Amino acid sequence: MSLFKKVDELRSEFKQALASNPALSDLERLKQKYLGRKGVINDLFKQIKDVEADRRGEFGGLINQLKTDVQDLIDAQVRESHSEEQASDSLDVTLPGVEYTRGTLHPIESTLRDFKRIFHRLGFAVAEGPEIETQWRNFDALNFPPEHPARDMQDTFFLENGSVLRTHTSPVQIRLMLEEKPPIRSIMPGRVYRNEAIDAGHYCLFHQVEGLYVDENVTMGELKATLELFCREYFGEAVKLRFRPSFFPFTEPSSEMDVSCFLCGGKGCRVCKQTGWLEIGGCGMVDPNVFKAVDIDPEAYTGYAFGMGIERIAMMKYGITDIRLLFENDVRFLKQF
Amino acid sequence: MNISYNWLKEYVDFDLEPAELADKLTHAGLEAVITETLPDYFESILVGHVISKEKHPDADRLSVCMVDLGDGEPKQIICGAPNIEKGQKVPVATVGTTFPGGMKIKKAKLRGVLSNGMVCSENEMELSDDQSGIMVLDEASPLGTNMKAYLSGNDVSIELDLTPDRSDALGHIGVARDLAALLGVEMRKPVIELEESSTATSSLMRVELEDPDGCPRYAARIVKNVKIGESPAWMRQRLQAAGIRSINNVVDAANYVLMETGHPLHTFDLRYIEGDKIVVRKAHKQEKITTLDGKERELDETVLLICDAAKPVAVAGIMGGENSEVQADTTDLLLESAYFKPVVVRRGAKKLQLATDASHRFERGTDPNGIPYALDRLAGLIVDLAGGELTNGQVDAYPEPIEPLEISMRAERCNAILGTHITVESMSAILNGLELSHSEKDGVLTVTVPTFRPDIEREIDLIEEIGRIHGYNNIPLPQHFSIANKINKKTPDQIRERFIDHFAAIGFNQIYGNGLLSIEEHPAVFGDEEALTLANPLSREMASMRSSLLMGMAKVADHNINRRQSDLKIFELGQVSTLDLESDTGAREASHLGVFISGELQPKQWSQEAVEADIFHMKGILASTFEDLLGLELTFKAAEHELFTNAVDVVLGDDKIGTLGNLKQLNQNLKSVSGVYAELRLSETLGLERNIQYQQVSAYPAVERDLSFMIDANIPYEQIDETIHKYAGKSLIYSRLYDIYEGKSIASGKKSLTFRLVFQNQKRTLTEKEIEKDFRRILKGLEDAYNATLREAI
Ligand SMILES: [Zn+2]
Repeated sequence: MSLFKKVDELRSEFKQALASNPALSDLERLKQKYLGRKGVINDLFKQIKDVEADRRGEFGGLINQLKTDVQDLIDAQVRESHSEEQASDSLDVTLPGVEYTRGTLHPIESTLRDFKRIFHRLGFAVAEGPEIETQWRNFDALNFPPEHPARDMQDTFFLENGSVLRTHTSPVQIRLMLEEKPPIRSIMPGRVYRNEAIDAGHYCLFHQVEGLYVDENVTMGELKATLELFCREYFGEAVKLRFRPSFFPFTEPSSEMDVSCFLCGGKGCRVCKQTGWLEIGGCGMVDPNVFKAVDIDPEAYTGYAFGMGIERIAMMKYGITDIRLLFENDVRFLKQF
Repeated sequence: MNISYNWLKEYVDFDLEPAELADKLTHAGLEAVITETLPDYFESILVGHVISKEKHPDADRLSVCMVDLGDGEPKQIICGAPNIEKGQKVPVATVGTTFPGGMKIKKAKLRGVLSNGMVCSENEMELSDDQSGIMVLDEASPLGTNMKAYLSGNDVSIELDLTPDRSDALGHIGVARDLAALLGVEMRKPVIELEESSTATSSLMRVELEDPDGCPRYAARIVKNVKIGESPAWMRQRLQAAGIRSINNVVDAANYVLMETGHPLHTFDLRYIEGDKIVVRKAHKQEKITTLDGKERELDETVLLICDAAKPVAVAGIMGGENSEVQADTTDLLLESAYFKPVVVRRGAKKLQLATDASHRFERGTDPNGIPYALDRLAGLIVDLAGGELTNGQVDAYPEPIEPLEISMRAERCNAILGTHITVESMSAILNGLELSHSEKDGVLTVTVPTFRPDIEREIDLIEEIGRIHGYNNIPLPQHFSIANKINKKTPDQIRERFIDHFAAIGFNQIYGNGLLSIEEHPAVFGDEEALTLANPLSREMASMRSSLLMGMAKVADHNINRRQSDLKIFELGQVSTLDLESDTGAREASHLGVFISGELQPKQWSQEAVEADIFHMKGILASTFEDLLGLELTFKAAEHELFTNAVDVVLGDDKIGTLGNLKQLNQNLKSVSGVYAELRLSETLGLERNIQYQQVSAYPAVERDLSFMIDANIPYEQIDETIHKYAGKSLIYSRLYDIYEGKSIASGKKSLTFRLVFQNQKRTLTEKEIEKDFRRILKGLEDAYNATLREAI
């Protein structure tokens, strides 16, 4: 019998076997017989050498086709049998689902993301800078006079060479204003350092988001409106905002901003220390001396800046009472976010 | 600083409850909170009347007293003080009172006689060091009043947390000025009338300013024949509310004027001032002075001294000297009121590491032109309280008077900055309220800024004053924002976010590590790290900046593994820094990705086996991350690394960007940590350039072939894979190592590999002949290179 004919015979033989609607175990046996290592199709491959040289390619194609068809038909039959089995309700569907372990964003990250999302919608780009800064960018250019008590407002880590671990992300404002011409509208998230003893409320490092808008005709009213929109979107629509005069060397006028306590609705509770208000950050109009330091004409442009501490807000929002938990990274803590 | 609610009323009329007052001040930038200056134990110490006093039957020194506390049941109390007398009003610690030292007042028998409380001395109540006898109270005090009310005079103390610019508000008058401006009422300052003797002060004392730059003004007065004693109750109550302990009438007077005007003053005992002169000069190197706190301090040229003809008698603006201190027997006083340059006092205080109420104020700027007023006020108060005669006039060395600044403010500019529509008239009224006298022309207000407001130097500072008193909360909110017409460039943080999201999505927990480490904790992950050390660290454990993420990650792993959380998938994306002398900060910073896996990646479940963490998972995670997020292919090269076993370098293009491997023990404290760690350096531009171009999906069938062959066991996969691709031809679109087998039925020293190969062509169906040809070529290549032998071909 020619080998070509044998291929045809095997094909029809297989189809017959399949037509008898075999059980799953029979299908497995069929698979072994045709496709197994010692199966009949493999046998055919070994016989390629017996075919006339000029027809070997044709023959090879034929048996490959056979192999593919057998495989496809068996697979289809197996699928059908499975679905029949499932349709017969014999499967214990109450067995638990396969567990997929979920991952998490760190609460500092997710808080930062919320901030970014809202400010992005308000047209703010993101700018970043290094954690180690020159004193000029961290203090002098920001209108902290040398040997002024304002420098004591932020306990500073120094490197041996006189550089500082930035005490705020404001040096990024300086970098940005030196690099770009107004309009500038960016937020500046990043890690900052303070040389303070560590306790439940303080850590030697934390994260800030600052914002800067420099353009013609920027007003303090617009600063207030921007921050109010942010707070209502982030903390909830009912939240109220208040502004209190304050002092920061790099802004004038300067203000603290408080939101009405979203836990007690302003009635007073432990978190807001019975005041009904939570301090969330500082803001103000960019001081003309800062503009002078970066060569922007303070008569032509005005600007506002604001800054908020991410940890502080994350802690208020998630009810975390000890900042150290954020840097301990116990996975039982992390998995809650 | 604490202020007194009652005291403030002397300078301005207001009808506000303490809480309302605090709120008002807070909204003007003087952050105010109502505070307690007296501890709780004063609440159970009550004013009592001694109605009888008998000798104790069995103890000579004790008296048995009946004391009426106003509750109708006089108490029997045993007292040992020599000065207790019938008819006195005295403080009685009732049963249950607990003193700070832990002493608790109980009913007790003293030598057989019952005592229902204790009559207290000032020392026992921690009011002063006086333990000579019990404290005798004002005869008019109502019975049963608690000592908190008695001592405070029913005053309320308000704590102000002032920003460093507001030196003018460091006294009651300054606070009253703001309050008057806020309420739109007048403020009044005490009017001083002095009686002076005919002797001119200048005939008794000269002042020489050797450093007029550091001390531009020094004024003095002399009071003779004062009698040092206790201050009256009103003075003690005032100081109490301001959080200052009463010392004696003279010192109290100086503190009173400090708290009233904000101007620090000093009093010397005149008998110790030699040579009838005061010299203000810089200290010499290694010069010494013993200050009022009893400490000997070594000085240098940064410190300014007040000296007499022979010796230093005070550290200017910081603290007086012990050698000229006012004492109980002092009769003649030299009063000092001076202006020292803020920076000079700041340097001195830093040098001596000594911060006082005086230095705090001088550093922030006092009023050089307020000196005569403060000095006269002190002189008048001392004469009132301690008697004595004032000599005629002040000695006032003020060679170059400091003139008030003149600044213009454009009303239009003010409204443009604030976003308001405040009228010129309203602005003018605000300035008047703050005692900022001015003239107005064409909408420009020209202000003469008094020297008590050193914070006002520019137009913008005046604008802030207008905004502050107008009220920030009264600035209207615009309904629309302007948004800059500017392209928002793609930034590295967007790529980092994608990494973070990706790792969270595949089951990893993100961590935020502490960036400060001890100097010994810098494992060389990349080998070129030189860590940066801090000049003023918080502790030895946090004395340098992290140069890689490894140590922080290992500490987190250790923390968790020690708490039975050993199946970990954690990662951090953070900044690290290393020494770089080229940069202006001396540092180079980079974004690193650290990934740690340990234990089981997937737990055993009823339907599947556990999946253990190993380096192949790490390779796969990293490769797929780069491929999926950035369309970039990572390659991996076997490497040697002192921190890892089975180290593998991670390569992107031609650059090694990181290393992974099984972590070795880092140090003795991190014994529990074992797992697979990878750290990669992510360049600033990574992924920013990705440009996805659609590739047409072939319409022609893909054909799968499995290739199984035997090969020497020691030939690495990497080489085999390379060979396959070298010989494959263009039609091989995918290959995967499907199975690897050594052992039974395989000759020793050999292994069997099975690859799944997929062939496809974009333009036509591949013929069997073509596939066979590619297949054979691959096999031939493997045979030639490694003596591979075909096991099975399908
Ligand atoms: Zn609350």
